[in-house]
Amino acid sequence: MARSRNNRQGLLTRSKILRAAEKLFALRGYDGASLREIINLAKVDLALVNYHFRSKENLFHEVLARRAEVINRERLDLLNRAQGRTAQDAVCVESIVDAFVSPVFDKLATTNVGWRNYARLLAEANIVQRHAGPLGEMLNPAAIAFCDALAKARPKQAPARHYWDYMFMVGALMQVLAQTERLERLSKGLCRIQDYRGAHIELRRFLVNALSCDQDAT
Amino acid sequence: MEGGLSSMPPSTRDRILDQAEKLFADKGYHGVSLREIMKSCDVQLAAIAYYFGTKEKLFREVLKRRSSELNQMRHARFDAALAESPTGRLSERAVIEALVGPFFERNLNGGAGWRNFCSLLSHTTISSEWGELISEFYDDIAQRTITLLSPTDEPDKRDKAVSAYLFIVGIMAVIFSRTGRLDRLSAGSYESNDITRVYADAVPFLVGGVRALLGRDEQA
Repeated sequence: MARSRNNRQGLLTRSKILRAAEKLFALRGYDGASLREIINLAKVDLALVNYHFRSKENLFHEVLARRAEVINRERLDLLNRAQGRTAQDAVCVESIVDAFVSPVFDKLATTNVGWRNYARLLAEANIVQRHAGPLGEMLNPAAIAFCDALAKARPKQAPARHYWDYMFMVGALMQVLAQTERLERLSKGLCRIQDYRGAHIELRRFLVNALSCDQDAT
Repeated sequence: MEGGLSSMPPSTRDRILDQAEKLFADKGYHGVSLREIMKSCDVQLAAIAYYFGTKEKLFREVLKRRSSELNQMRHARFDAALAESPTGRLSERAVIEALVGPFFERNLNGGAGWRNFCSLLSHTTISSEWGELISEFYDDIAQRTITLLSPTDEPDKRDKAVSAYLFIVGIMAVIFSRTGRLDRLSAGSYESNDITRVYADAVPFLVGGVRALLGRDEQA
C-alpha cells in the first residue's frame, strides 16, 4: 500500500520535473536553462531531480524521448498502413510525406502548449552536435523505415540519395518546428507562426514535389 | 579575409574572432565562457574586453564578419544573373543557386574557419534567442530572394516565397550542422562531408520544392 503510494508520488514528481524542464529548455535552449530554474518552476527539491534523472543532460534526453516515442509510433503506423494498402509495398511519395509530417502538425494544432514547446526543443536537438547522437538513437529506427520507403518509391534514384533526401525533409520541418518570429518579420505579418494548418499544406506541397520530380527538373 | 594577405599573421582581433567562432560552433553560446576563449587564443581578458566589450558583442562580431562576406557574394551572384537576363527575371534554379551556391563554395574552399561558421550559423538560425541578430544580418538578402521568387506582378505569391525561403534555410541548417546523424543513418554509405555531392543533390530538391510552392509546376 505504502509502496504504491510512493510509486505514484514518484511518477507525479517525475512528470512535474519533465514538464517544467520541457518548458524552460524550449524557452532558453539547453544551455540557457539552469537546473535551479527548473526546480523552482516544478517546485521540487534538487535532490529529487538528481534522484530521478541523474544529470541535466540526461533530463534533457528524457524530455526529448517522452514525446519522440509518440511521434515515432504514429509515423510508423501511418507508413505501415499505407504500405498495407498497396500490393507491392511500394507506397507513393505523397503517403511517405504525410506519414512523416502529419503526426507533428496534428500535435501542433492542438492547444496543448507542451507540444509546441517540444517542437522547439526538437528543432534545437536536431541541429546541435551533442544532442544529435542521443536523438538519433531515438529516431533512427523510424528514419530508416522512411529511407527504405523512399528507396522503394523511387527505384531509379541512386541508393544513397534517399538518406540525404530524408535529412532535407527533416530540415524543412525543423524550420516550422523552431517557430521563430522570422516568418512574421519577413512576411511583414502576412504569415503567422500559429497558422500550423497553412504551414502543413505548404510543407507538404514543397516536399512532395521536391522528392518526386527532381530527376527531370533541370 | 583569407587569401591575398596570407603571409601576414592574423591580427589579435582576428585571432580572437577565429577562436571564438570555433568554440561557439562546438559548444554553443552558453557553453563557452570568455575565460575559455581567452585561454584558447592566448590573450588577456583585457584584450577581448578592449576589442569587443562583452561576450554578446563578441558573438555578434563573429557572426557579422563572415555573414557580410557571404551576403556580398550572394548579391554579386544575383547581380550577375540579372545582368544576363533579358526579362529582368530569374528562374527558381538561378535564384537558388545564387543563394546557396556561395555557402557551399565557402564551406568547401574557405578552410576550417568557414566550416566552423557554417555550423554556428546553422544553430543560430534555428534558435529563437538570436532571431533579431539573424534578421539584422540576413533579412536584406532574404527580402531580395523573396522578391526575385515573387515578382511584383505576382503579389499573391509573396507569402509562398517567404515560406520557400525559410524551408531552404532549414535544409541548409541540417546540411551544415555537422551532427554526424546522416553518417550514422546511412551506416557510412554516404558521408555528410562530401559537400560537392550534397550540393548536386540539394539543388534539384530545392528547385522542385520551391516551384511547387509557387505553383510553377503543372504536375504538382
